[in-house]
Amino acid sequence: MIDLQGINKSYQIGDRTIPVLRDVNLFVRQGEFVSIMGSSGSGKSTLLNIIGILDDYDSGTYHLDGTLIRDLSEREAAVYRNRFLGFVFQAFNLLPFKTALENVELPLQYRGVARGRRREMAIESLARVGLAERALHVPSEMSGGEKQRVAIARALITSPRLLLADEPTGALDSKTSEQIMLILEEANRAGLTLIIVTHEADVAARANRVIRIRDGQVEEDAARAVSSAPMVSP
Amino acid sequence: MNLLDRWREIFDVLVRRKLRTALTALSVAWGIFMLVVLLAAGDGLATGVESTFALNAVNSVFVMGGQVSKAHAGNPIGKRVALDAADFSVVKRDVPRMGAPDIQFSPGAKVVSHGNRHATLTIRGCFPGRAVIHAMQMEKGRFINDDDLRERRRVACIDSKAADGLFAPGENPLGQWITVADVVLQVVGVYEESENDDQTNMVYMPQTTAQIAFAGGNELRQIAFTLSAAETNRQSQLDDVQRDLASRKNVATDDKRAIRIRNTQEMFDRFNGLFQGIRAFVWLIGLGTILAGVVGVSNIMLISVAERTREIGVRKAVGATPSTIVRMIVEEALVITCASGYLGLVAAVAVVNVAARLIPKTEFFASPQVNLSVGLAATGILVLAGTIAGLFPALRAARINPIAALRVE
Ligand SMILES: Nc1ncnc2c1ncn2[C@@H]1O[C@H](COP(=O)(O)OP(=O)(O)OP(=O)(O)O)[C@@H](O)[C@H]1O
Ligand SMILES: [Mg+2]
Repeated sequence: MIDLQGINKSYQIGDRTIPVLRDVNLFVRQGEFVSIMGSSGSGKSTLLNIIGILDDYDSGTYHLDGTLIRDLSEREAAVYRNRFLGFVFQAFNLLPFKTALENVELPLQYRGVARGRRREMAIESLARVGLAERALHVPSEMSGGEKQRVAIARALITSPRLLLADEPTGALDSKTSEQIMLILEEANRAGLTLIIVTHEADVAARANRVIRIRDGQVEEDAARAVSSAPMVSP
Repeated sequence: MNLLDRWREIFDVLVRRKLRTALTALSVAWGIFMLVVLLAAGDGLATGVESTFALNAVNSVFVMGGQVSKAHAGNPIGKRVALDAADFSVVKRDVPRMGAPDIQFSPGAKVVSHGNRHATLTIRGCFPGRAVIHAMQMEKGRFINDDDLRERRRVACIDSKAADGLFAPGENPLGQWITVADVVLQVVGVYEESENDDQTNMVYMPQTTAQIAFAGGNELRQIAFTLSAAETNRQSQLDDVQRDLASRKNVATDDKRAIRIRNTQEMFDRFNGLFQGIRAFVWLIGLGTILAGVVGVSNIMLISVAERTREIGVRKAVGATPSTIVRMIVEEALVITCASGYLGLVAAVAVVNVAARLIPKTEFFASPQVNLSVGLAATGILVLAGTIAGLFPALRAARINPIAALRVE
């Protein structure tokens, strides 16, 4: 599903070039649940953004579902994101003046789904994260955990193949984190490929595979021997 | 994204930022308001002056004697120049195809009586051409004709106001006799007086009759005629008149104050030029004001885009293409400009209509109005202005990098 080979990425600050990712190789199969760990500034978010086609890379190759992702126009990238990918962020990133329902509908809006159908799907998606009765609340009326569940509902509504979560539980307490993880694991069991960046060992421990990044390099790629999650072949 | 969704989004944003939207809207509304009101005022000015001019046949030429303004051949500055019948012959020779010739002999104001009714009226001897040159409208009877002139008939044509003074209500003036000093004239026609012209309280009589009856010497107040606009060498004919009359009167050829030739076509053209100038000026001011409005809208939209960086980042992350973002912002600007511009237009039309009713019609101002072409042009300008206003902020929004926008502060 994801095939990264020899990925290099650096940022230019003034006349200094700061390497962020160095020769990263990563292969993720369909239906896997992978967590990425590493100290702050090690390049986890950068890696996730490249996988999510929000950022580009300097050299190497990235194939997503067999397609080479390289020098895409913004338009093509937007279409890929809309078709294949779902994002969940630490800061939730809901549109503040829209209700939960409208937030969840947003990706479908860009996909051109008709209003009535969209509404149905959004309610269904909200129900999946247990927030059907909160549909008409705006984010400022919701707790952090609820906001993150809305964000997950928004990411799942397009039935993406791949969900990318950058510290989804970073702003939540442990009890709420547990709720969020249960929802994500359930989606993973239903076939969704899941990549989570996290600092929390107990969150990372729930994955099939833990990848450690250090100074822009994959330091350790440990598949856990015993996995409760069924693997779906690509 | 379909149209309804886009409109809902735009409406949401505008309502959310009411004050800002209102202030921006005001500047655009004001621009359109100014443009339309000024154009209507220019229109009123043009209508007023044009209707004043319509009272004279457009292609009339008037030749009058004036005062010497350049000393020449012993004639001092300030000396009066008087035209006479011989001068008229010269003019006729120089302008062979003149129409509706008219010479005017003015015995001045006299007391006119009919029975025991009296009025002080201006007496003028004229040619039949007078009626053409001044576009007189007959109310009753006829104007002075060629037979009257040839046979020196004692007939008169008076205006309706003079008739009101001399005749009892309901009395038919036609065929009645009126006494001017000790001359008795039979009324053969009454023409409509119009307050915009100097054709009120008048008694017109054949020039030949007047000259004998009032023994006023030979002096002609003016020589008038029409000259078709199709005439190719109009100006050179009029130059001939100027030159020949100047040499007859011993004044300088270029002394335009001694021999005065007024050409209504020329004045008409000049007024038209003036109105075009005024119109261009008004457009300039109006467009300037609208431009200020556009810059305002553009600025507001830039601020709005900056504030909505994260929102735009989110939209991009979930699949908004750059063109969707551009369209969103441009449409927002368009809605503000068009809605507020339309309000300005409506307000302007209302003000112009009220003004048209309240401001009395004068020689220089009449029935201002907003015509369809101005309305259409204003609409076109608004759409254009809105698009331009939205374009720069929209392009900036489209360039927003979602990673930067979504980064945790
Ligand atoms: N736009 C940028 N310009 C310059 N440097 C950048 C930019 N984005 C990231 N970096 C640098 O790249 C490195 C990796 O950043 P990244 O956000 O991937 O780290 P991270 O592993 O996600 O850290 P954290 O755990 O704190 O989120 C950091 O040193 C960061 O300063
Ligand atoms: Mg990070």
